[in-house]
Amino acid sequence: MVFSSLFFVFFFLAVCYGCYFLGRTTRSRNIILLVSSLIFYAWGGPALVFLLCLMVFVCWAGAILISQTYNQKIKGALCTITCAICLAILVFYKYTGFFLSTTYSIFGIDAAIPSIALPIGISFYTFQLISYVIDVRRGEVEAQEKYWLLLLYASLFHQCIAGPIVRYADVNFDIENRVLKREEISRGITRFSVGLAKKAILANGCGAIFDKLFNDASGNPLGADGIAGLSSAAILLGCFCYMLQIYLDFSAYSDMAIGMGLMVGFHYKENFNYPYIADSVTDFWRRWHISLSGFFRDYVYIPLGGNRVSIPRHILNMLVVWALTGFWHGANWNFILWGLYFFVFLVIEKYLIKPKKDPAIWWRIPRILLTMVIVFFSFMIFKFTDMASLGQAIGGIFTSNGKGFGDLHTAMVFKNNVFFIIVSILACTPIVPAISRLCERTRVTAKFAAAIGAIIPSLLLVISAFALAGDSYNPFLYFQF
Amino acid sequence: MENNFKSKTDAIKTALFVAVMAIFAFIGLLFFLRPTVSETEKRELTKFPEFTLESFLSGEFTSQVSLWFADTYPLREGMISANSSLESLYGFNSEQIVMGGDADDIPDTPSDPSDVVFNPTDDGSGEKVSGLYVNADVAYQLYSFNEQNSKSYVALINNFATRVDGKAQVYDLIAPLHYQIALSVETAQKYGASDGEKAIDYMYSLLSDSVTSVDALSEMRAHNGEYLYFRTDHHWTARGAYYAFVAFCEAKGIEPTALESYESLRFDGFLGTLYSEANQPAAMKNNPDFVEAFVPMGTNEITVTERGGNVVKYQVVNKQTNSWYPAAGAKYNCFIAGDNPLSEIHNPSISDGSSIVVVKESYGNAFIPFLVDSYEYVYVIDYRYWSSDLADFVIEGGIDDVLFLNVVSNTSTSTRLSELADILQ
Repeated sequence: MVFSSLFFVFFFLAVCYGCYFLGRTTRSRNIILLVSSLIFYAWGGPALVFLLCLMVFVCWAGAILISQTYNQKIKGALCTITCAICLAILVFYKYTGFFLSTTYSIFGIDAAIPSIALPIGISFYTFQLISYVIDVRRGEVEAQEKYWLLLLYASLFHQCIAGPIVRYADVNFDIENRVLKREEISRGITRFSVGLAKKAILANGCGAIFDKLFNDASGNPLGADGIAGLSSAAILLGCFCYMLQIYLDFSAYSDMAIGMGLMVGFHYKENFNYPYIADSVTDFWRRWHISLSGFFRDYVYIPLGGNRVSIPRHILNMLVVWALTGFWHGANWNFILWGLYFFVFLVIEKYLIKPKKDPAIWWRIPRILLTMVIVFFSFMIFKFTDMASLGQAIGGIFTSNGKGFGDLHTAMVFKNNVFFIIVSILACTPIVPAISRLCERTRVTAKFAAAIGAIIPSLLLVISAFALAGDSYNPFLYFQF
Repeated sequence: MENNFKSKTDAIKTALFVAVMAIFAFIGLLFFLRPTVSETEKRELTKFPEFTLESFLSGEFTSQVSLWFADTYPLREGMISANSSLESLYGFNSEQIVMGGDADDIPDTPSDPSDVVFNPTDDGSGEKVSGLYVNADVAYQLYSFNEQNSKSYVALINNFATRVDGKAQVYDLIAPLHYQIALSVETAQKYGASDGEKAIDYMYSLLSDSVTSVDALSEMRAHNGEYLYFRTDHHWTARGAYYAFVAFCEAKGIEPTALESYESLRFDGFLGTLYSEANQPAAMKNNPDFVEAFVPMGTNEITVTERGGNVVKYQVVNKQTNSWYPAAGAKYNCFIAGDNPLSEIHNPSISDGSSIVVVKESYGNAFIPFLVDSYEYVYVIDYRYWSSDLADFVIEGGIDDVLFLNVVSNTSTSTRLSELADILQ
């Protein structure tokens, strides 16, 4: 089930939260949340619920054993075994095909590669569970004795399938002791509706622009040959919209998760902090998918020694972290390349340029623009999973395909969406919070802003519903008539 | 006081949000209001899936339920239309273009006859030979010429003509698309569309001598400026079809009835397939098409064999179109009761035994009524739904004329070609 569907919003969520508020005790509410989370997860393929339950069981048992042992060596071994089992399952489901095809192509073996369906959200919940086990091992949290509560933590539909990667330590208290606060429910409502609108209207709209430029007449993505026929402007506009889409889409899911959490008393940490106003690549990664970079920092980078080591060792540590970060995003070379691309810029920033933190505004703007150019190309690497397409797209930007800069189709697509693109860009900046802070300065404008703020969530919900209504419609289906 | 105000607005916000959620959720539960077909989109909506253990375990069942919920949500059509009003604010939205498939160059010189064989290609882009160009309240379907498929089309007609040689006269009418009449070749090419006139001429030049081609395009172009095509639908109007009929009469050497002498009807408020394909532009909604129809004189009765096999009598031109087909998207069904495998019209005022079979897709529908007064028997075959051997049908029925009627884009569409081949080969 995806958040951005009529079924989720107006059936699943409505029914689930309807029941939730009928529940009287935290225990009964937890049961409601757990049952609905399992249904939510099962919606994408019921068999995979068992895998989730199994992995939670392994980590639940592992953590209890760790907490009951006083011998540090045994604790360490138990932790390693538990995490290794989780990682092995993740690797099996996510990377078998990739490893086999790579091995086969190196050794020239001609054999069929088994297709293993990727369980939804496995990359997210595996990391959540690993963080839990390691935190127990480190003594940072106590082991959860009740299996079903740990299952609730891992399967909670807010964050199970698309993050943020919530640490057990952050929700440990909320799971058993949360209270509903009106003010938080209200904040959660705003956050959820903003996220929904960001996804349903802006991200999907940006995706539609990309598709208009990068799909063939039948609606299938263009291959390398097709991309070779695109003008520079088409590639630039398409990839720019993709860059907007990926942030709006991903951060929208986090917004919705945080919002739905707040509505029922869970407090998740922020996952994005306006990454597109970052003024260096280092800054970008402090603002982008914070829960993932935090995971790699705490469980890979720092255990490897972090930056308190020799320079070559530090560079090696960064290389490991960024290759893994890239690989986590998908079982394909382009994702590894994507991680290494950032590694190169981060090393350059760390050891060659050393950009100053908090520069003056006149210097900050060109730095933001330069950073965004780097990020733009990174998302091209991210988008095009085959190297031939990527090469054609990058070459095409510099008109190496002989298609020239502009074309009529791109001009029309741009003209038809110019206001939409401007709004999407603004949505990537903290302009709305800035305006609302400005309003707080006088009593009259503050009241005005609060009044507007009371209407906006409902309005966004309605408009998002309109946008989602058309999703089931495939304009190429009816041509038989 | 400040805090008081804040908690008041919080309460209002929460109440409003809960109310909106509850209303949408409640409407979603009104299963008896759920539609099963979309008139605007001309398709059946997703059905509630059948439960099987297999589909449940694979996740197919649940994903179909989600799709069904959204696809048949009671307010869906209104919501989509509200959304497209919103989308009209996205930019300067008067023009849009959806690219068609890659077009081949149309050869300048006729191909070697031995090269004209049935060998259609389906490279994926071959399925979608039509792009779309929308300018305010007019949408034009754009066609991309495919050389191999065009030759295959001609080969099918030529082979068929050999099979009925000496028994029936074969006519081929390739109907032009709106843009080929209304836009200049340069403009069309700017939008990636092929030169339709050149394409039709090319195919006609490959036809064998026993097939008579019908130059509908020149006749229609002479009347450019009249209401020949719908602005919101991919079909021609009855008036457009009439000029194609005039061209057919010229090819056959008979006199067409003057348009003025027919009883004419008008049905307002038509929004066709291109309206939804162009994403329901407000400009079209505010200025919909109308369907003009001309009632044949000899008879207005047609015997239709429906897709299910039922034989039903309908009107050739449905005089009660507004009550039969109240939906804005359905008014083209005015003609010969829409698309059916086989239909038959007997004109009792003619008794010379003359007969014609028209092998058509939906472009034929608006055309058929004009034939009624020129033949005693008119048979209509929609080759997409009929499956028998056409030559047998013609020879056994002693039919005089066979007219193939296709819009030019279908001559490059591999699915149409294979359907045609099924009844011709």
